[in-house]
Amino acid sequence: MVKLKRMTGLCFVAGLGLVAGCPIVAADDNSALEPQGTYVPHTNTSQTLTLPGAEGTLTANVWRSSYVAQTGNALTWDWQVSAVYAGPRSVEWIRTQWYSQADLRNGASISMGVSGDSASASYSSSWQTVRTPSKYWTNNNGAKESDYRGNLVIGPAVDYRQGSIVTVNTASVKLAGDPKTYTISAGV
Amino acid sequence: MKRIRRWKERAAVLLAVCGALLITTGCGSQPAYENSVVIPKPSNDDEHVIEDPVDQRFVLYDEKKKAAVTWTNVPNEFVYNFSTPSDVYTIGNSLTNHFSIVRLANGTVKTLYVLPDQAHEAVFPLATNGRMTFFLLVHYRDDGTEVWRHIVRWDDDSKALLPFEYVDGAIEQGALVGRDLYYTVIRPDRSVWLYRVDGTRLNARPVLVSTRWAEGPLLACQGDLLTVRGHRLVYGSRLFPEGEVNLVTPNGILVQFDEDENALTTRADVYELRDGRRIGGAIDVEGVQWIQNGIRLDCKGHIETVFWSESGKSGAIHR
Repeated sequence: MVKLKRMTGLCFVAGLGLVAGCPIVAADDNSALEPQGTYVPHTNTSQTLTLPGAEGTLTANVWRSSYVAQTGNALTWDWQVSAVYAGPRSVEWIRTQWYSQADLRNGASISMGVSGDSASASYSSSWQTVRTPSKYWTNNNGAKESDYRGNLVIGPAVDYRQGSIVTVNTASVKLAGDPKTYTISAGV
Repeated sequence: MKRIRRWKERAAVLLAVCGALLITTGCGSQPAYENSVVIPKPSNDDEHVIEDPVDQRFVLYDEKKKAAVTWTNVPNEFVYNFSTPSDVYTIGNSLTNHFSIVRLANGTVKTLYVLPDQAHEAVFPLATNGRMTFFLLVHYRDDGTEVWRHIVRWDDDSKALLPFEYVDGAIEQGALVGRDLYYTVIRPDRSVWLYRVDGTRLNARPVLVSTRWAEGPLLACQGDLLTVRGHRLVYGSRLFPEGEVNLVTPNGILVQFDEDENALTTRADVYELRDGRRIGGAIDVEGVQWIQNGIRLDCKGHIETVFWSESGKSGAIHR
């Protein structure tokens, strides 16, 4: 598993499809993610919520590499998610929360590389939509962004229905002085 | 002149609040519409509704499967709780309002009160000791900007929210110490002012207690307010990390919910404030329910019950 977690600073250059110019704060092993500045073919989306009372915007970003790497029987994608608040208010906490799902069969499994997030199909030859448990990362240090990335692994490849992979990110924020919580989701 | 204008503003706000409340309570019945929030309903004896305090939602938990089977999942609809044990919550939509006060009892949710102005008002739990219950009532313009905030007291006899006459400002949090309601107000310079008002008298004048109160949760325990120092909760000589969600029971138990950095799910930690001892907790928490002198943590794959007593005896049950 490759896990890379940062408190701030993962940039989503969604329109250009680049993971470039963004400082990597901490990588905990030899990351299989593309080196900075390298073009990574991917699919991505962003959804933005305009908060009431001109308090700013909350954006949910989700990104998954287009090319799936096959090693033996395993299929691997890179993925990234983030929640970004843009506005004048201080942030009490900001959270990014994600899961993936795919059509699997014959006991095949899916994992997004986080402890305890593996899910499996039953031992049946019919296709079933299998979803990973939802996981989240919260920043409550005043940062206006929360992000996470990792590798998504499905295996065996023969029991994955091609094109059925979906990754969903839900961004939530609590602003200082506003009693309400806000949320927006995006999926690819 | 300034005083007259302030008096006029107060009178206008009071009239608006009372008028709005009379629309419902004066007619003797609540509006017929349901909550906008879709609350899961148990379909068998193994399922019951619990509260997830981190995701701020009601969860339908299956005791046999030991897993959450569904939850309130309409975007921007959230559940708000008191920072003391209570079966009363408020629910509403952050974009459209439609707020209600509800009670979660015996695994199901019942509506206690629907705000009369569904489009422009929101209500949030402020403080309760089970006998007196206070909420923060916020009024918005059509564009979502705030007009005013008020502290209101729930009157169980008339099923009405009664406003305090002299309490206003950007009220944020509250805590009860005896009959005194302490509350914080965020000032334009972002400083936090602490006030105290007699919770039994709606015409009581607030007393300014501090102009340098720290940001963070406002919690009370056995006659004292906890203070916050550098993201730590201070009670006597004991220090506790500030959790994402912090709750204190009347007999001095601190219950905290946070993200578990390994599992990336919710963890709960239960401490005795008096001696700082951790008496229980769990990870993979899907939701909680208060029980007599304890809390039940319904988790993915297991259930943990942490209990305590007035005498200080405590323990945990795992199943």
